[in-house]
Amino acid sequence: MHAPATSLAVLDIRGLAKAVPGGRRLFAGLDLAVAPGEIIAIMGESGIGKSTLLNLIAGLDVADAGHIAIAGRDLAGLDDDTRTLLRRDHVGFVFQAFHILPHLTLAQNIALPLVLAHGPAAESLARAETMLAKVGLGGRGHDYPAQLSGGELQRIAIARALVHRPALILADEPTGNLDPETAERILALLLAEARASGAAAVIVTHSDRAAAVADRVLVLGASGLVPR
Amino acid sequence: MSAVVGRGALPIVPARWMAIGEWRAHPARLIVGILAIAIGVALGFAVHLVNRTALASFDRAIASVNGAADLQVHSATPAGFAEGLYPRVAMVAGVASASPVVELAASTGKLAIPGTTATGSRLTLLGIDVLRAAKVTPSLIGMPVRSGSGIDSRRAAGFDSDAIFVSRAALQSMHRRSGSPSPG
Repeated sequence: MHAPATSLAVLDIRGLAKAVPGGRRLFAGLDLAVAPGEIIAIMGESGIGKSTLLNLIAGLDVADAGHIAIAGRDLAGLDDDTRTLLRRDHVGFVFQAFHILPHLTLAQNIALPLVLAHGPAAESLARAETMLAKVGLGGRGHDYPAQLSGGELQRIAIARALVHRPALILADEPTGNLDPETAERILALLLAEARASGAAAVIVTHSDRAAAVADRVLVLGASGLVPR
Repeated sequence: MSAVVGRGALPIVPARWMAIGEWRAHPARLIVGILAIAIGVALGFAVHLVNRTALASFDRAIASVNGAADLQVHSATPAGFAEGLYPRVAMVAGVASASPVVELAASTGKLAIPGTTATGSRLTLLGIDVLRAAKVTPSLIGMPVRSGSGIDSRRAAGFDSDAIFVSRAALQSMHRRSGSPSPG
């Protein structure tokens, strides 16, 4: 029996275990507590399970054992629909490959989390324009993703992850596809926006420069997360 | 902090955005997709209509072969209806031919009463107008044992004052065979 989730933590992980098909154990007994507004960088070798850990936290994958609580709610006790609603309302996810919808305008892409939560279209698009300005792409709401560079697309992805003011931001190597200079700018933007909105962030990265700006840097290994 | 939103209505806005976006990016693909769905639905409905028509036609053919009446008028009470109703029904526009049937409950032997054992059985007697029934419900005309099986010989046998016609089930329940004397 695990102890109840810490009420102050926006993310509380207890005794998490996950093995991949074939039986190889990625990690076991993994614990992590993230306070509101805290920035965590997670590093580790390729294939060690960093992306899997983020997917577990987001409820996109199911753990073999252990508990994950977001905003005080244990994912293990929730059905698929409720987990989706919890993720929609409390989590922003920045994917390495952006996952921007090509047929929607930039403003529509950013406003998507709001309208999926039944927000009014006009207000959602206005908020999307505000986010566009914050990520340095103001006035380009009617453009389409095909007109943007990789760095600009990642800025759209960050704006989309932040637009609904989530309590927790998960970023899976958000600068992995970018050149070092652009990567630094994107990361600074992500952290600045997270701090401005008071959101906690868990960032998976290989970059030492990216890790340097985090409040805590943890290394994922077979024994779990250890401070670097 | 999180966005506070309602959850009652359908998320129609993102669906509309995606439909418009798809239309803008691939108009021909969308038109072909809609046409394919429309044709598929039309084909399915057409097959359903053909099946229904074929089954209805088959049912009518079976009823015609069996000599079943297209329409039956039943009395609301066991006493039957007034005889004057029959010619009125027969003369209704659209009625090609009408055949009256009198239906009575009867029994053979002794029926069970408290303290006794039944030796008989219940029967339903049908009285028909043989001349009319030949056109409307030929299946109700009895099959004579000795003469031919054509409708004329069956109709002639119907006038035999020394014969009754019973169903196969009734014959078995009375332990009789075709051509044997009536149970009295």
